Amino acid sequence: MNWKQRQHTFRLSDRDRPGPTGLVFDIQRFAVHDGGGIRTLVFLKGCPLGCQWCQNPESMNPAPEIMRIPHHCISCVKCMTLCPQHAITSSETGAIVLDRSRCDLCGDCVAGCYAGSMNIVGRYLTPEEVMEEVDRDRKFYTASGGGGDVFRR
Amino acid sequence: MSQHQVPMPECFGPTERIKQALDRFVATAPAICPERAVLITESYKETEALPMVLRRAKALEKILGGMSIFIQDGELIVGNQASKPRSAPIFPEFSCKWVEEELDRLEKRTADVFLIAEDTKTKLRQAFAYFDGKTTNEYAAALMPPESLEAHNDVVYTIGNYFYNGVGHISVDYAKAIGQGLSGVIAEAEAALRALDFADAGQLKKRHFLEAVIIANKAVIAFANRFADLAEKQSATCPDPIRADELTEIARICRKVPAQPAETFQEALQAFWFVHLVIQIESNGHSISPMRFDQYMYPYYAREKERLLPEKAQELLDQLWIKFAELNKVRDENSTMAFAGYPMFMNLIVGGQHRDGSDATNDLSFMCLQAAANTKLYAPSLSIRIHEGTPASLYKKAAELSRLGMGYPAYYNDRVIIPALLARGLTREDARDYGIIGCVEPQVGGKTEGWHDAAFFNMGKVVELALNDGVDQRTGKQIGPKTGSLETFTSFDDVMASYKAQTAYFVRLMAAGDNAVDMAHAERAPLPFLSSLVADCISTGKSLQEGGAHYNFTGPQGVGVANAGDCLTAVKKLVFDDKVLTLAELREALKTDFAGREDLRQLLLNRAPKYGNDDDYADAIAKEAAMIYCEEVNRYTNPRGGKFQPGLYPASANVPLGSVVAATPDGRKAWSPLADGVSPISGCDTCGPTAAVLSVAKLDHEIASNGTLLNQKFHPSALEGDKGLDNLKAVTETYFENGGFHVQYNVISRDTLLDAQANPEAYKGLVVRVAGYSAFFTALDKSLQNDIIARTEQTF
Repeated sequence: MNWKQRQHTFRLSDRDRPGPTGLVFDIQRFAVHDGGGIRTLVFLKGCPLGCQWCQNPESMNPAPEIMRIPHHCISCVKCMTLCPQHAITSSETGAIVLDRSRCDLCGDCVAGCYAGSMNIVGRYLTPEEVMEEVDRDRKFYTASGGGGDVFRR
Repeated sequence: MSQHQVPMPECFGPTERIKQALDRFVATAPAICPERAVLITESYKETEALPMVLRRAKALEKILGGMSIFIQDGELIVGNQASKPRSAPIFPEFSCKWVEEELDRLEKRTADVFLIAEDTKTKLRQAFAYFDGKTTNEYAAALMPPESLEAHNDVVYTIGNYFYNGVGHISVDYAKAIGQGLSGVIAEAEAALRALDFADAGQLKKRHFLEAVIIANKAVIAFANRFADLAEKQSATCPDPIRADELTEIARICRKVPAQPAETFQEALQAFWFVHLVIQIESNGHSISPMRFDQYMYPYYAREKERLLPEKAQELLDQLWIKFAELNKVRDENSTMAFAGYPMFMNLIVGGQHRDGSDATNDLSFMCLQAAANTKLYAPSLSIRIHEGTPASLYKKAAELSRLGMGYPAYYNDRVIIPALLARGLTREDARDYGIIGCVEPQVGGKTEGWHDAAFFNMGKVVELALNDGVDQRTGKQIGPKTGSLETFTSFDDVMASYKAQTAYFVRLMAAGDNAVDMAHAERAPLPFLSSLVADCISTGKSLQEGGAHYNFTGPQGVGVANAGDCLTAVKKLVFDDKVLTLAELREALKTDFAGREDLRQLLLNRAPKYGNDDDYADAIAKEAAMIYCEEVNRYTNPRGGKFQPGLYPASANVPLGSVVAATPDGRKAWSPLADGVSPISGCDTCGPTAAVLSVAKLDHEIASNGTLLNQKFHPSALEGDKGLDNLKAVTETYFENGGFHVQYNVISRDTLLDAQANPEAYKGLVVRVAGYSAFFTALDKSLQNDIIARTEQTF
């Protein structure tokens, strides 16, 4: 399964897979800023710094969490019907409202939200699973000198 | 990359003369010129009794002798196509009914506007009255099986380019024309004529062709002499002594070339220009491509290295670049949607290999790239050949030019193209000597009639028909065979079989349509001047249109590879593999253009793998969808003794072709554009350019020997600094190593394009990449502008 496909479902029990695993919240190919060559960035959750200006606040919590992207919502209200904890309701204006205190990260709403509005950020991946993704651009690292000595062979 | 080093020569920016010429150019509004139409009608009326090829030669003679000529202030290279720069002549002999119909709308179009005087309209109407029933278009329509014409009208494919216009798509033996002069060509034709036995019935016709060649070439020489006369006249009354001297020199050059062999660089450029220009007065076929200009012009530049200052040489080149852009063509409204932006598609390619395989880079290779940077126009279509021996310096200069954002140069991969040409029967030396015609079509120049833009095949439409038992969802008509539908399929194999059967049926109709158009050109529009400069026409005594070229092909393009792939992938994954969607639900959603079922559209968009993300599932199906088209095209041969060969690129036809296709299973809304070339669908490649090019490289580019086209758009910030250039090179190199054919980069921000859309007056000179060529953004129809804006912007 590639990184994109992993975003369609979430299983909290993955946390208990035989380790080691890391909690990854994004893998970005063609990273060209703040360094030389073409690289792939693996973003891990649990950053301890807490900068006021943080561009990726979803990186702070060292645990998976629901992340909503409201402008993707198409108001199909499937999430509402699917949620076993009744954590999702709709307001008077029809906007989707999430009660985080009721959410147990079962992932049903994520599986049912085709528009990508309901997301859970963070997947427990093994090093092999990460490398499978990273390895795909090996030729670009070599061609551009990205990734330093590790990939120059 | 090899260690082959070539130092970058010092390059020079635009001079005052060039800057003034550019201002003048951008301020000139394209218009319609009636002169050619009037003159050709007059000529045809006088030659009713003659064989057609002689009528063509005499028509050219009359046109070149009677049309207005001018020399602009500061011009060093002279020669005009119509009575004003950027004006388009009319070619009624190919088709004129659409012109007549559209005369009053030409000034009011949404794209490619042409001004037209009332008096011009009157003259044209008179000319058109003569041509009723005499055009190549009408004859082709009569020759074609009615099913072929209907499928064209239903836009399952469009053969409109050659159906309505001249063929073009060729590169003549410029080296010979410049090096031996047209007097050399005439001598060759005269010798062939003397060797004929006209009592042999098979050779009688050749006599007419060879005589036509002689008449046509003499007419071009006379045309050049008219410019010499004019230059002398202007010189005599010119108050500025420097300019007077320039005009005297122009006169001397125009008396010498193109009749005699050229010697100096300026003479060679002028000879080149006369040839290149007259080809586009004889016929309105576009994509007349200079191709390996840096190779055949180099001896003239090198010879003068001591005498001619490099700045002066650069200025002459820049001048020529502006002349290129002054050429123009008016197309019917439908074709304009497919070829938007006043494009002439004149491909000029630098670098690559010599016939013996060694690297061919020279100073002119760099100077041509510099000319493009100095003039920043949309013509010629600048390209670069890349092979293992390409010097880093040339690659770097090309990347710098890409970063300027006009969408060129386009990059071509010798590693894939040379084997592809070998597989099509070219010799090893000829294959190494290839250049590009028009958008992305490879051939060897001086000896090929490639018919490279034979048709655009609507792969999106074929998918729609395959899912609906051959019933056109736009009209409700049964236009294809009954191969099953969303109501009857029981497995994915059924769906694939239906797609395959529809493709086979319509490719066959398209081939018949193309061949009918081919025969119509041979009958009604043989081209003696053009043919005289391509082997083996003089030696075989046959025009190009009759099969006189050494290599002959017909190349129709598949449009919508990504859509076909993603549609089939969505059906396989969601309906048959995951079973989260039924065929009935899908059918209903497509029929209603997803009305009330946006959730289903999101499912199709987001939960099916998409081509362009380095996902093997989607990429394998896209590859198969393309292969099915390519293998069908491979079956057919043309009337000139050549084979059909498929390509995968759209010019801008992905927009009008999409406009007749209903909603599709890739999540696409009804009537919206298809993807361009082999590029992923706009917005569907969300894993960045490395993933995108890896996906595209998985297709078989070698079989698509008429060319494949990949568009990649970068935000300027992604390519900053020298590192940015290295990254561009790394992406290109890796794509090519993995089997890619061509790639072109649009480097412009979405914000700039949106601003240009809102405030066109402030962006009159903004050039963007369309698909295989560049154009002024503000000249394009809004739907094409939106398509370009929507193309995924790679920025991280």
